[in-house]
Amino acid sequence: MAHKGTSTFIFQRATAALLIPLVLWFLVSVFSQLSADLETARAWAARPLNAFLLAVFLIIGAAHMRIGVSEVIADYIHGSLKIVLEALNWLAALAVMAGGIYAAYVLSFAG
Amino acid sequence: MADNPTVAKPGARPLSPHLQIWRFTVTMAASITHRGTGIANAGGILLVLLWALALSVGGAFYDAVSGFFASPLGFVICVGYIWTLSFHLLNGLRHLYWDTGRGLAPKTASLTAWAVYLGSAAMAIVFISIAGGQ
Repeated sequence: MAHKGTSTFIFQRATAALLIPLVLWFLVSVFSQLSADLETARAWAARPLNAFLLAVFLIIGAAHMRIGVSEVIADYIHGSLKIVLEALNWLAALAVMAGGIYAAYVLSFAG
Repeated sequence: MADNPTVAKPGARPLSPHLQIWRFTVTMAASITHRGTGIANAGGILLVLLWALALSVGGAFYDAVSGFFASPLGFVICVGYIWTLSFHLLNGLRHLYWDTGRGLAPKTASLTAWAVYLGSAAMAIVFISIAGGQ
C-alpha cells in the first residue's frame, strides 16, 4: 500500500473501534444461533436489528480483515505470489461484504 | 549493478541472528498471538458468511451448515473462535491504548499482555456459557 500508509492506519483503527461493540453483540447474540434449526434462526434474524447488525458486522469485519491480512502478506510473502494472495484477500473481503448485504436484504424483506 | 560481483545478491545476504537468540517474553507472545488470532478470525468470518448465506437460502444448504456447527468439530471451532475474537478484541484495546502514546513501558506492556491472556480466557468462558445457555 505505497503512499497510503496513513489513511490505511487510520482506517484500521476506525474499523477496530467500531468492531468493539459489534464483536460483543456477535458473541452474545450470534453464536447460539449457528447450530439452531432454520425456524429458530430465521425468527432470530426477523427480530429488529439482528439481520442489520449481522450485515454491519460482516462489512466492518471484512474491511478490518483486509487490512490485517494485507499486513501479514506484506511481511512474509514477496514476488508474484504476493499479487495473487492480495487479489484473493480483496476478493474474500468483497465477498463477505456482498454476502452480508444480500443476507440482510433477504432476511429482512424477502423472507 | 546486478552484475557487479562485489554487490551481494539479495538472496545471498547473511541473516542477522534473530529467531535463535531472542529470549521469550510475554509481550512477544502476545504480538504473535494477535497475528494468529487475526488470521483465525478471518477464517471465522468466512464461516459466518457461509452461515448467513445458508440462512438466507434455507433448505438442505442451511441444514448442512447448521449441522456442521452442531457437530463435535463445529463445537471445537466455535469455542476456538469465541476465544480468538476475545483475545483479538482485548489485545486490540491494548493497541489502541498504545496509539495514545501510553502503556509502552516494558513493565506495563508485560503486565497488560498477561492481563489480555487471562482476560481473554475468562471472557471466552463467559461467552461460551452464554451461547450454550440459549
